[in-house]
Amino acid sequence: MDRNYNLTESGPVRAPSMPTKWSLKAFKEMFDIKIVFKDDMEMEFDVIGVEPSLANAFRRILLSEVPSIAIKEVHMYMNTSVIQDEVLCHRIGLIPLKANPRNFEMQQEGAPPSEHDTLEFELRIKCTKNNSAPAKTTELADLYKNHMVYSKSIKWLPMGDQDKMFSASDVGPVFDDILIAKMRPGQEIEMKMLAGKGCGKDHAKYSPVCTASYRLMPTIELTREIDGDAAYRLQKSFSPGVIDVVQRGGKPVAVVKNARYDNGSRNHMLHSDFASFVKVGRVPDHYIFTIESVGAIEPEELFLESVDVLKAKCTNLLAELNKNS
Amino acid sequence: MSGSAGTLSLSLPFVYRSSHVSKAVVLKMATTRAVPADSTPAEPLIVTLTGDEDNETDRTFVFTNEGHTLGNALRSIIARYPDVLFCGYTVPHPAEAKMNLRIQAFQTPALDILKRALTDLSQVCDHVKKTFTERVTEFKQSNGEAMEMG
Repeated sequence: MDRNYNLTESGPVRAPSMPTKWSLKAFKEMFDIKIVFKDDMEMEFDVIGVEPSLANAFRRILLSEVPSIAIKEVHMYMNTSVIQDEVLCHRIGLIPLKANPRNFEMQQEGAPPSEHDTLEFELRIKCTKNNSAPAKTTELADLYKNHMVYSKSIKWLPMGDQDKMFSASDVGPVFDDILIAKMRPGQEIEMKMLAGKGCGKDHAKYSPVCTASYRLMPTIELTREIDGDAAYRLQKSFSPGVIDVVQRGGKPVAVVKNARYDNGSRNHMLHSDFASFVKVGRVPDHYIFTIESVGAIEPEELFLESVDVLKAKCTNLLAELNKNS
Repeated sequence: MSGSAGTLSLSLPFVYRSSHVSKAVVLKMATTRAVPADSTPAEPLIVTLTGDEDNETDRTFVFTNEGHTLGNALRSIIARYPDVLFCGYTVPHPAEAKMNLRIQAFQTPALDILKRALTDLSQVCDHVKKTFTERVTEFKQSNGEAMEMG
């Protein structure tokens, strides 16, 4: 039978937090989410009351099964730069695009690209000598024009009715300053790119997260009062903000302020006088999720997408099972 | 390197070539396999392994295009059902996108247990979504107020 173990100093100890019988009601009672930090690109939130398998399922889906748009076919017309064709194409494919995958369909095998599933871009850039450069300068920016190819040079070519639905800022690269190639005068790059929908399972360039990860909430317990000089040493052996030293009865005493910021370094074990009085463990069902978006989709939407994907798996499989029986 | 006329020519670094559009070199970026989410797969989604025909309570289900993501989540739910004697999953080979889930029960048919687990997991997802959306809205409101005050 499945068990949920408490990870302590002495080894795994079964946690009473997980009931042995599964029930949706019990899950709903124990489940909670706390948002800690959120901005446009990154989000940190706590998921409490889930089993490792469910938390991991969300993380795996975020990485590999939430679709996004990336360049997948390159028509290379001219490349006289030192970067090889295939290396340049690989770099182009990794550039994150702002296009929302919900507005596009997956391109069917063998079907020609259409305005419903493809975005077309082009990159045409030529490096030339700057004739009006100041004399005796060694600055590359003064000597050459267009010697650095940035992602801002990628131009969107709308197909069909796409210019009525999107604008260039909706579908272009997320960042303008991604360096693609370096060139010298006389070198030229000309290529047309087709972008389509895919998911991280297929190629990592389609992963919508820089990374999505989680860690378990640490617990720190002081089994004996640690005071005086040892209190300050204990405070130093943990990350800042974990241990606080307060005045109690005229002497400084160590108190656990916020175990969340512990980074698992176990530096307290170096001090033999209090190492055995500090118990460090993990809360088995409290997950601290961090989602860093690549920039195309907001992190809270990404998590909702991943839950949707898991739900869709269940729904499709149920439909399949009911169809057969 | 591609220049003009599609042939590999030794191009001297500083020769300026005219941007005459000639035969393009089409480079399709290698992808391991196309995963068209919208089209119906050629193989069936779920198949049952042979060997359990004499009763309804024991089955091994083989899922295509699934792995640890769904397998572990389902297993952790099914293993805690009261009538289940055994539940385990495995990914037989990492190169093949197949997942085997075995359910052995005392009296309930294994298929019913699987259906119940999928329904339960689906409801879990609904609840997670609902809670998450509420919390995000609360967070945005409270942070919006903080920004107005500050």
